[in-house]
Amino acid sequence: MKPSGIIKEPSILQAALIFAAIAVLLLVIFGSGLGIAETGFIKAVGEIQATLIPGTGTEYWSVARAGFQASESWKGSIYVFLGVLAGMAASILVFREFEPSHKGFRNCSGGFIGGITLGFGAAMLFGGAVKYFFDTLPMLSLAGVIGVIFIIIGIYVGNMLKDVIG
Amino acid sequence: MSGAFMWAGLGLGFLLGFFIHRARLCINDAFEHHFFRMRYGRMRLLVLLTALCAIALNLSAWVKGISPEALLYPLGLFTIAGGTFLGVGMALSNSGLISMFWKAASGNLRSAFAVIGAVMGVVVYSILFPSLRPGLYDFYFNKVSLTDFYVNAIFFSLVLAGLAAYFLSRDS
Repeated sequence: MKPSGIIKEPSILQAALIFAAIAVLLLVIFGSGLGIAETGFIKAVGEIQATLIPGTGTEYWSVARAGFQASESWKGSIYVFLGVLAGMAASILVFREFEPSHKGFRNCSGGFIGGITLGFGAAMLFGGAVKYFFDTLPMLSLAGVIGVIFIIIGIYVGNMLKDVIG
Repeated sequence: MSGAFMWAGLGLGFLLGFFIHRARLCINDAFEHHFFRMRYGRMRLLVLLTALCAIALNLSAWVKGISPEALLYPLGLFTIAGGTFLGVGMALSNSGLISMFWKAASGNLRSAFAVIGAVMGVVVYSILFPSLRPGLYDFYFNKVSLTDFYVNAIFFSLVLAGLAAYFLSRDS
């Protein structure tokens, strides 16, 4: 029997309350909110990079580790990220929501170019939009307010560019 | 690192990932739907969650005596440049840094290529970092200030709660 109700399709309020509760637990344990999952992605890329092309980007990784992350957050982030991937996989498998799309080369190239830009910006910010919307902005950092404004401008500009790039 | 720390991370991550997929949480979708499709459901979740996080994180940091400095960043040119790159990348790849994983796993080819691109983007940036650092990171508009932090935080939480109430009252 498949789960239903709040597990299958939480309402907006239920989902927001669940995420806020998880954010509080993450803050208490790791000293970071929901954005820790994005930190985990960046750290995971760093681990892959150190294994495959050792000696590259060492200055960036030392700054990322020391300057912009709480140490507990940096250490635990990769576990949270792996847990997030497992949770997403479980949700897709349990509810059988795999729907492959068969769109053309233009769609793939647009995604690839977007991915490179996204990764470049995330590395520059030491985190992604979740970190800025749900950690930094709620904690009243001016960096959060400015960061969110420019993310929104970027989304608007990117949607305009979609017609050109695909 | 203790095993409990690791299992706590994996467990909370699992819950987070499961509900991110169930709620279809994606910041890019929220703005795209709001600006271009006139659908407000995702935006309501985004604003409500930001407001709830403002209240919950500030209260728990205050009650538990956790320093909020870990969540406050200095503001510099990198915030502006990084935010713009991130936003453009989100729009072009149709996903955010976390939502691209559930979209790719659900069979979205564009997001699958975005995952590969994002890994390459981080690697490229880490290699270019030494030449970009002087311009982007060595000039700060301001350092982190905690002056009247909690007074501002409570005020800001109320503003966000008002915004959330506004969006919740709209039809999706």
